Amino acid sequence: MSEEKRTGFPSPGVRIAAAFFAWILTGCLLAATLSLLGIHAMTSSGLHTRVALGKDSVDRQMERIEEKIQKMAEEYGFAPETVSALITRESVEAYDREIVAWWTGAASSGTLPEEPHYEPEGIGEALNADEEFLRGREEAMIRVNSDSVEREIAETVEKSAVLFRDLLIQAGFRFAGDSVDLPMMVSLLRKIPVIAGLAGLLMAGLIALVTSRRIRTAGRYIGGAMCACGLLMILVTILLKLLNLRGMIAEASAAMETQFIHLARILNLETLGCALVLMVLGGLLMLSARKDERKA
Amino acid sequence: MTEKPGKDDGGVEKKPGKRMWLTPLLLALPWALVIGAGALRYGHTLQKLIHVAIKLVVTR
Repeated sequence: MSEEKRTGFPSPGVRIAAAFFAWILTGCLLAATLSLLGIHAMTSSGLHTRVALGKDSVDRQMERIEEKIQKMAEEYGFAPETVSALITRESVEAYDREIVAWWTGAASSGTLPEEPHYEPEGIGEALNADEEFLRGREEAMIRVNSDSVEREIAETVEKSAVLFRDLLIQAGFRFAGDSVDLPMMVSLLRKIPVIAGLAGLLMAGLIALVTSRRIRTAGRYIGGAMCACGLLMILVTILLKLLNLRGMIAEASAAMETQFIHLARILNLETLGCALVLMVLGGLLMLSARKDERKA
Repeated sequence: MTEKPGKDDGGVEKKPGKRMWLTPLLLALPWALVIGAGALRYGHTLQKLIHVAIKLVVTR
């Protein structure tokens, strides 16, 4: 009589095989969840729009734009309110949305379209109605100066929204695009969670097979793998925090730091949320396996 | 015949239920060691690379 038939529990060989498959299942689940979260972090336009349009980020942008307007008002001799009234928070936020859609679209597809530009409206007309600006200027000079003001303010809005060296990114894309098929590479990377998920399903199937389709015993191993994956996600979150990305970004740009804090908070919540769901589901599976084993 | 503690009348040995909760820890441990070893070996290099990349790409 086999040990399984005698004791009602799987033999050591079965347990070792099930444990091995459960260990691989843990790795597959970890690869699937981390790659899904990574792809979401890099390419989700919804997430990055939320970050870019956060109150603190937009406040910082508006402060920077206002400082530039004040400086230009002193240099060119016009009332700052003339131009401030035209650079509204809504127009800046609309531009932020376009920029986020631009670079997340590039990250999703591997192709970089033309960068959107900020088009301020009505600055020329507003300056032409400003007596202080018109005083002592010839018509040609008025046109040249109002074009300069318009251009510099547009540049300030663009630099406040695009917190990275876009020319470098564009050059990088061009260089990489010449060497590799970027769209194909990006689409392959997006398949990683699917492949890891399918491999995980295969492992779960193998566990069910070696435990002779005893759902109770299989549930213990599969639930254990899910809990283990949750624990490992917490470990990875801690290790990423130890990298001190915030400190490095703060050294380079205070504006980027503001956005990064917001982004990190959202991603941490999502990762820990996933870990918690896996651990709770895995724990329930293990508990129900234990209850059924007691009844058997 | 005295009954051994932990054995029921059918002579089947009861598995302690608390050991079940060790399963996730034992499954996670090898991966944790791999991730930890990778972090110790490459963490510092990765940090430096990221630092350089941030300095190059991020503007003030």
